[in-house]
Amino acid sequence: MKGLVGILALKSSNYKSIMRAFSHLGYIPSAIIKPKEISVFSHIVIPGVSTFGSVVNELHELDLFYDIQNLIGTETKVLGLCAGMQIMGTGSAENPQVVGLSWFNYQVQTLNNPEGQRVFHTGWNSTLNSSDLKSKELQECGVFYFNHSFFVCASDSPSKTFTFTPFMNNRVLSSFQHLNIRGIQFHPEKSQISGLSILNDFAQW
Amino acid sequence: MVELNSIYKRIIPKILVSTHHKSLTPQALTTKFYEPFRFIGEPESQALIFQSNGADELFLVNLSPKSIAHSSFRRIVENVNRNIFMPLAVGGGIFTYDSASGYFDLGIEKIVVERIFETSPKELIKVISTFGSQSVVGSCSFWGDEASFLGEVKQRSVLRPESLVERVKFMEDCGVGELLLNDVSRDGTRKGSNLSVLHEVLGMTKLPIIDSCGFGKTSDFIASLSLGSSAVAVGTYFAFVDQSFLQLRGQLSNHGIRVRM
Repeated sequence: MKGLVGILALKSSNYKSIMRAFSHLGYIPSAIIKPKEISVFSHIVIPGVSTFGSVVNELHELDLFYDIQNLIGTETKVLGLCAGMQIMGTGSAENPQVVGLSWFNYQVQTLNNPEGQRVFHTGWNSTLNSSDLKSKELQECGVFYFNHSFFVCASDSPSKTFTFTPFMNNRVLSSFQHLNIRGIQFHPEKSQISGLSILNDFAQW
Repeated sequence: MVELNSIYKRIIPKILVSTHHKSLTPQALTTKFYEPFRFIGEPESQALIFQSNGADELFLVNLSPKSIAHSSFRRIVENVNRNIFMPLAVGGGIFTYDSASGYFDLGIEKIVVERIFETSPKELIKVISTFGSQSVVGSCSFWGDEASFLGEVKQRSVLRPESLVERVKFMEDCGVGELLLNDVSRDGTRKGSNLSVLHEVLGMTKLPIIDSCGFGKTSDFIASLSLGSSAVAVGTYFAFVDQSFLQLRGQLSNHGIRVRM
């Protein structure tokens, strides 16, 4: 059975690209703009491409924040992409005064190089299985498009089921699953066939 | 085994859009010194070709914002973005927060800006505070051949190389997430990109740098990417070279450049 996919229509996000990706896969996604619409969907996506503060503030403006916050542990499957994943934590160095959904106890950090300078993780990179974290023989499990300069450290993953991406001596949490929640730092909607299969897998979850 | 800490180098096709003198319909074209050189087809079909070739990213640039209405270029962006599932950056004629947010509203994730640093940097800072630094590519057009400096190419102003350092610092201070280097004196010439300027800018910033203009041979890609550019953006190259993405990537990989295969 195909999931009924709803995508939060945040103006500061690229939600329309995510909608097109699900449409391409044969789903009929809808844009969510009102709190009462949330309960209609079996699968909900929190989109990214914006700052931590923009996502949280827009959720408050649309009066969606607390209804979304209450979704953890329910039957509804939730997918957060990029900044949409980051706001699942408590806060971010990007907008220190803004409080996230606080589902998980992670703090989003600035991505720095070993010299302490802010860097951007922009482009295609590998994701690696959590079981590889202490292994010297790392095996690639997918290549996806990243574009961010703030990140969640892999050691702060909410669950043992996660992937990570090494970048400039940082271990970026690239995806995880906990209860009914999935978080993804990269952009599956822009990662061609491999990304589309991630979205399809979510809708079938 | 996976290489640690190494992001893949990107090859980014640039689809430049302008109007044909015989038709008002915007078309994709190649340029020489940023002037229309040869029209190569519809932007939408070009984008689909690059999508099927597995390009790493796509730039779609309105080269003539004064003659192509914002609404018609926006329609092209919408059509292109409807059918591709790779990163898309849009540029040309973005001078205000509203024009930038109008493109983000279509679902694209990056804009390419240049003149806004001269006309309205405060608008750009507003864009960055909403959409994030990673959503903005700061473009820098300069005339690398000092001896033949023109000051401007028709109505397009270009910087002298010595002004480039100041501009790069300013773009970084404004908070852009990537830099695009265009040596207009090499555009369309296929004689290689400006490696001395690339080297200088690499020493100034930790931002990812996209090198552009002048790529004509595989060795030009190898030289730029080996020196440290994160990506190469090409407009003319794929229009005139009988070489696919796969062949280029294979050659780059054989030279130790980490590219997606």
